[in-house]
Amino acid sequence: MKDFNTVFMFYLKKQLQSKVFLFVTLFLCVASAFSLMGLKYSVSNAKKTTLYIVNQTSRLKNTLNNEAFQNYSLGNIKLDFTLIDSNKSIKEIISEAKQKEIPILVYREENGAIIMNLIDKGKISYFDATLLQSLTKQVYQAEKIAQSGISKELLAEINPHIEIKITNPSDDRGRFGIVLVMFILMVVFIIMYSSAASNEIAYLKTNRVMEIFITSVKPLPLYAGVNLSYCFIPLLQLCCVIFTVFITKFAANIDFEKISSTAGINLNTLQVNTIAAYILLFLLGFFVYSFINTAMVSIVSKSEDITAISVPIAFVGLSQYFLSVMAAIDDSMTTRIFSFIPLTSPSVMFVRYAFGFAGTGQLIAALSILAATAVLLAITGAHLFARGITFYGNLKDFSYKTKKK
Amino acid sequence: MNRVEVKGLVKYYGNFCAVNNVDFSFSSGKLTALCGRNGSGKTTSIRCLLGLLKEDKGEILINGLKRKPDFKKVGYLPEERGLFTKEKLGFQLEFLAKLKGMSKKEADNAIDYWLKRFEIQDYRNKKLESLSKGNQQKVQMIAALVHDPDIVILDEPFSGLDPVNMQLFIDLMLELKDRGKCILVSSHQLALIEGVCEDICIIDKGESVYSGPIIDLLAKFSSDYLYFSTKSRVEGIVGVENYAPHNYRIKLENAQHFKPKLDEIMKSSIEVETIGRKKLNLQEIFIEMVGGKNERF
Repeated sequence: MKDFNTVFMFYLKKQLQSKVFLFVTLFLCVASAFSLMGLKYSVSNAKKTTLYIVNQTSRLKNTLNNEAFQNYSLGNIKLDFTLIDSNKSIKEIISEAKQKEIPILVYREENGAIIMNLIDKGKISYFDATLLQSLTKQVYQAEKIAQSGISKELLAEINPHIEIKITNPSDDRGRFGIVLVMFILMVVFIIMYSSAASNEIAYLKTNRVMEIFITSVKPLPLYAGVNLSYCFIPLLQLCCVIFTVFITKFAANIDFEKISSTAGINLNTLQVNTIAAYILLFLLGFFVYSFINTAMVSIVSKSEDITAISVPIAFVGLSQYFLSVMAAIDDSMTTRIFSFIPLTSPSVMFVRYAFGFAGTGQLIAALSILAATAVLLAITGAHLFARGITFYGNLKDFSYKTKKK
Repeated sequence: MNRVEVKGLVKYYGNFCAVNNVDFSFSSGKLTALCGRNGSGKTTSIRCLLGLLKEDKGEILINGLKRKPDFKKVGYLPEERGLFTKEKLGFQLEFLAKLKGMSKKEADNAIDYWLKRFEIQDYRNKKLESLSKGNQQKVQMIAALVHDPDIVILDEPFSGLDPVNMQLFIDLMLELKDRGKCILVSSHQLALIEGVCEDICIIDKGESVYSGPIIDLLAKFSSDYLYFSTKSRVEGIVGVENYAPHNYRIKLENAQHFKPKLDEIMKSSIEVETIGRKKLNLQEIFIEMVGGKNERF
C-alpha cells in the first residue's frame, strides 16, 4: 500500500504540475463560467418576434381594439398595430414585408369569411398563429354575444377563459439535458484520460527509469498507481468546474431555475443515488479502459503498434455514446444487453438508471460485473505490464516469451 | 558482508541464446567488473540478476541462499539514462528514494547530501533536461545511491563523463567499497577498470570467458613484449608487429629473449626513437581474448 501511495502521489503531482493539466482545467472552468453568463444573458434578453397587424375588414374593428389584443403577451410574439389601417393591396403588403423583412398578419374578408393571412418567412410558429386565431374568434364571439343583451356574468359563464398550463411530473426535458451532458463527459473523460495513461506507459517504455521502478516496487502497485492517478485528474477537473459554476452563480447572481428551464438542463432532477451511480460507473469504466490500454501498450515497442492498439479501443469507447443515446430514447433489448457488458455499461447503464429504465438491482449487477472485470484486468494488466515494459521486440516474440514462462 | 553469485545463467530470446551458462560473483569489500563486447550478454545478465528478465536456467544466490536480492537494498544505474527529463531533480529523486522505502525527511536529507557532494545542489529545482550530459549522469548515480543500498549495480557508469568527473566516480566507488558495499560495474573503460576493480568477469558471445581476480588474469594472459617506435622502415626482424603508426612490438617467448631482440634492433639500420619492455594491459588482453570474432547481432 505504501508503494502504491508513493507511485499514485508522484504521478498525481506530476500531472498537476503539468502545463497541459493547468491549461485544460483553466479552459474548462472559463468555458463553464462564460457559458453560464451567456445563458443568463440570452435568457434575460430573449426577445419576442414583432408581428405587424393589418386590418382590412370592418367586422374586426372593435375586436382588434380589445384589451386582449392591445396587451397581447401569449406565445413568442408581440403585436404591433402601427400598420393596422393600411389600405394597400395584398401584393403591396407582401412586397413591404419582403422589403422590411417583417412578418405581417392581414385580416381580410373573402366570400364572407374572415381570412388571417400571415405573411412571414418562418419567424412565426404555427402554434403562435393558432393562438392568435383562437383569441380572435373568442373576442369576436364575446362581442357579438354581449351585443345580443346577455349579461356579463352569463357571458363569462358560457365563454370562460381557458389557459393552457403544462406540468410534466417526471420533468424529463430537464433530466434529458443533464443526463446527456453527464454521459458525454463520462465518455470523453474515459477515452481521453485512459489514452493519457497509455501514453505515459508508452513513454516509460522508451525510458530506462522503468528498470529502476521495476527493481524498486512490485508490478501491481506500480501499475495501479499510474492508472489511478490518471483517473483522479478528470474527477478533480469536474470538481473545479462545479466550484466555478457555483462561484459564477453567486458572483453574477444567476437564477439557476430560470436558466434550467430555458436550457433544458435541470440540476434539480439529479438525485444523490444518480450522482453516486455516475461516479462509480465512471471510475470502474475508466479502470476497465485504462487497464486494457496500458497493458496492451506495454507489450508493444513501435509507435505505429501503439496507435494500432489504441484506436480500436477508442472506437469501442465511442460506441458508448451511440448506445447511450439509444438507451435514452428507448429501453430496448439491445441497450439492456449492452448495459451489462463492461466496455459499454458505464454510460449505457447510467442513462438507463437515470431515466428509470433500470432499477437498483440491475445497477448493482452491472457495477459488480464492472468491478470484477476491472480487478481481473488489473491483475492481468500488471502481469503483462511487468513482462512487457522491458520487452523490446515484436508481439510474436512476446507471446512466445510469455508462454515459455 | 554480502555475496551475490550467478551460476549457470541461461537466457533465450525466442530461439536466440543471449546468455549461455554464465557464472560470476561479486561481494562486499571488492569491486567486480563485468566486461564484454557490445551484444555479448552483459545487460541481459544484469537484467536477469535484477529480476527484470526471467532466466531460462541457472540460479542466483544471495549469501549462499537461492533467492533474488532484496530490491529495496539494491542500487541500480542503467546503461542509458533512465530518469524523467521534464521533471525537476528534487521531485524525481525524492520519488525514487521513497520507492526504496525512505521517508520524506530521510529522502530530503540524502538528496541534499548527494547533490552537494556532486556539486550540483543549485540544480535541485531544475529540470533534468537543463543539465549537461555529465551532470545528468551524476543525477543518475544519485538515484542509484540515494537510499544507501547494500548491493550496487552500475551499468556503464562512466558514460558521458569528463576525466575530472570520472575520477570523482572512481573515488566514490572506492569509498563505497571501503564501506562494505557489494559492487558490480559493467564498463568498456578497461583502463579504468584495471586500476579500480579487483575481480572481473569477461563475457563473449553469451559465455563466460574468464571470471576471477584481475591480477590472476594479468599473470596468466599478459605476455611480455618489447616495444619500440621509429619512423624508419622496419624490415628483416622476425616476429615484429606494427600495432600503431610508427609503433612496433615483438612478443617475447621468455625473459631471456629480451636482450637478443634488443641487440638485433640496435644493430639494424632502424633509427629507434623510443624502446622498452612492457606486459599487456587489461584492454589488450581483452582484445586478444574476444577481439577478431564477429559480433552475433
